Amino acid sequence: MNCALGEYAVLPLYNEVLDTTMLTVVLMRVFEAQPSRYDRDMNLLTMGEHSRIHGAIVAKAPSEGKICEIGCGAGALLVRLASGRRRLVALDKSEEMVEFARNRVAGLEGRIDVDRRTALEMDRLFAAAEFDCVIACLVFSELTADEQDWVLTECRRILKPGGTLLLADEFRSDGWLMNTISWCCCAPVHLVANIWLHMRRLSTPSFWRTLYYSVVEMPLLLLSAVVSLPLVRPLHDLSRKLPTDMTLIEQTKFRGNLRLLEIMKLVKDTI
Amino acid sequence: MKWLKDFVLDLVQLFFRMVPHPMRPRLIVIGHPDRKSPVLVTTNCSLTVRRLVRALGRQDCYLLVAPAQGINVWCGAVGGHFTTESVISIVHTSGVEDLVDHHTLVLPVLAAPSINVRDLKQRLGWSAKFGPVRAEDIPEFFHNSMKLTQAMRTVRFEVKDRLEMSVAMTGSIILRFFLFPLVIWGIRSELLFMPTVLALSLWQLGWYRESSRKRDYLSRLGSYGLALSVPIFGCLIGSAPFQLSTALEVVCIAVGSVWVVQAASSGYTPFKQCSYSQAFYGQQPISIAVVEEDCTGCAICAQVCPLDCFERLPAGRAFDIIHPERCVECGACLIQCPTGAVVNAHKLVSQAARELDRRAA
Repeated sequence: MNCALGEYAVLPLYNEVLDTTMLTVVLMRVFEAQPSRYDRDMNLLTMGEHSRIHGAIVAKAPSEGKICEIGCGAGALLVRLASGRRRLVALDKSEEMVEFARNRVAGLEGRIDVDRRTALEMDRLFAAAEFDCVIACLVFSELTADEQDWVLTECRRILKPGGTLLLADEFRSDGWLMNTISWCCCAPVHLVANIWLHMRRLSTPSFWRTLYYSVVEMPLLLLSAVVSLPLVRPLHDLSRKLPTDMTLIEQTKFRGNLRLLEIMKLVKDTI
Repeated sequence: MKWLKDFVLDLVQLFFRMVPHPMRPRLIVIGHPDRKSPVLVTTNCSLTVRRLVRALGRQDCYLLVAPAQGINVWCGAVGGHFTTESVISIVHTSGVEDLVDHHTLVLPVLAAPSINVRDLKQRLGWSAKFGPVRAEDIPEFFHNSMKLTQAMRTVRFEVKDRLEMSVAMTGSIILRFFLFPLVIWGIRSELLFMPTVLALSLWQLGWYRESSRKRDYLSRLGSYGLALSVPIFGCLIGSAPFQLSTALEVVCIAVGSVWVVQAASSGYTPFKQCSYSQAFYGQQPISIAVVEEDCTGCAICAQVCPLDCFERLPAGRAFDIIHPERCVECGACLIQCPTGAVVNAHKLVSQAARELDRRAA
């Protein structure tokens, strides 16, 4: 409620600078601007692991029933999951992504709905025990710790007993040495990605504009990026956060600290 | 020692106001609230939160600090960081739903450019009303049974604010014009960099001129004088011999100071300064118009306008933008108008032009 009349001059600098800062997530900000290239760029960045994770999810997902995908992105996974026996519901917070995914899945087998909503609206969108499977690919690392708790609880609520949560994300390494190395790799990529993002926003780049921008605005940009560095939040200890009747069944490791967790909501009798 | 820590933090964050100051989104309990106490929402800019908590004193209420990447309310709202999603997130994760019986939030009125109250009601199930622009008005707002007076919802850009803005701009200028050459070319090159500062300052002066308003001329004249007199006075009483390089330096610092002070004085606001944003980021200008036939006279546009541009037309119920010269193009009225009667004429005209071009082609 503070009037805050101060910092308008640099208002545009804030755009998309902060938020999450993991290697993939940082560049995802860049990729998200272009839905048509999103999956290709993600595959390049993760050296094909993006596509391999999708393959693993498709193999683990139930072959029939109702499936919810949180954060569907450009809809690559929806295309692979689409079948006459599956009913798919997908959410994403980016308007461009939703638009692109909708066009992509139009005409595929089975009923697929893509909604522009965030994971934090699940309480009003879905009934209890509505889904056989919930998929969250690179979503949790974009949430704050409290949001992760809330979304996990919601996933538990909307899953049928015996249903699974397939959660793919970037995790923090176990050892401090690997963590340090990974952070040191992340930091410059984060800075460069941020600067690239902002340079891209120049409306009609001319030599002088680019020069002015790179010389005059760069220090502010760097400072903004440095401020946001401590916000790096790869997942860790997620299994400790799980609600009591959910249990981790299997954990598959992929390259680049990516992991796929298969979490099951237990049937009451077995608890 | 808490006051000392807060004081130092306030100073540092004021000086470097142009960078975000994020804190963990949370629920802050103020006083001894009960199940009927109001729930306020603000952003997770730690400077904003500290000032707000100080201003609230011992009012019994809940304060939700919503995730907005550490940016203050108005910038966050106009820049798309303090959004409906932020509010949804903090209401769910803070557990405030279990603490109060009502489902009403008090949002800062400067959040109106991005948080659509109807959308929020539909997506979250909570209704929202707008509270004052300034934290210090909140106790009176509560006392006034949550009625927003005109004074509370109008942005006043007074001497104190302008001085504060000046300090913030100084931090920005130091970073922009000095840090980079210091890092790249070493400390000695700073003097050589001065002419560049001069040129850029003059250039920026030209840019900001278009955002000026008549009533600002006087204050600006004063600020030019002030800015020029400080370094000249400093030079005169100094014992340094008056050489050419010193003279050049003084002139550069003077022009730099003029730029700082006049930037604060001209009162540019999120979109008004957008000769900058438009040039660099292609942000579309906003030119507000009201379609009289669609206007139901609900007065929401007048209630959310931070500069009091709207008034009811003498004949009939409809509102119109009576003071377009005050408009800072924040877009709050565009977002909040329930019938779409408030339109961006600039956008409509450019759309029509594009359509004509398309047909001609």
